[in-house]
Amino acid sequence: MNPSLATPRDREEFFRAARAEASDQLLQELIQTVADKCFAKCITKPGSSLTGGESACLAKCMDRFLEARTLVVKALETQQ
Amino acid sequence: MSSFDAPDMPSGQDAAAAAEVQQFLAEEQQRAAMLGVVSKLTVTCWDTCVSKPGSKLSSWESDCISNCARRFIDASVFILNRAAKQQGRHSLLGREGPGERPQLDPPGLWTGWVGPAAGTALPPAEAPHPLMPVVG
Repeated sequence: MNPSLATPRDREEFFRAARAEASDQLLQELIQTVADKCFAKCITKPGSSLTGGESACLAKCMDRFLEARTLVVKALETQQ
Repeated sequence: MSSFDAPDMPSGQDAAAAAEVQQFLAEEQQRAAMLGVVSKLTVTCWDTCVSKPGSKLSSWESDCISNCARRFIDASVFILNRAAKQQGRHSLLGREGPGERPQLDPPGLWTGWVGPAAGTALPPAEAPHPLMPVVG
């Protein structure tokens, strides 16, 4: 895709689409990280299917990880 | 990698429009760098502070994570400054101008000599922004 940047409208659209793409990429990386981390924490003895306990652990882990990320962002914002 | 190829900029491009695009790219690059730090720190501090995820983060875990992030930044600044001193310059990446000669005595602690890294005469190239227009 070769967007023209000739008009202000073109540029606006390009900026919007570029930000959306960056956002998608970030989300993808974040999901991958959560999957890696939470698998490690929750699936210690892989069985023939995901147990209820493992699912519950994964759910908690995802939520806690996102909370941790929020804490990091806040800490960096308030860092001198 | 981005699905966007080089945006077409007609040769008669208005200078203000070009500046607008450059500004946007610079902002996005800065944002990406910042988010990179956040992601890396989140992983590091998660590993350091959270052993078994519960129904909520304990106050110990929360404090640990916040402290971890702040102290990581402090530690990085400390290390950079101290290494720069040991290297014998104000800046660890210091680049001599065209008329200057690399100092050989005393040698920098980190490389055994003081001067830019071998093979680099220019500032280290930043990773090209994935949306940066490709020329040619």
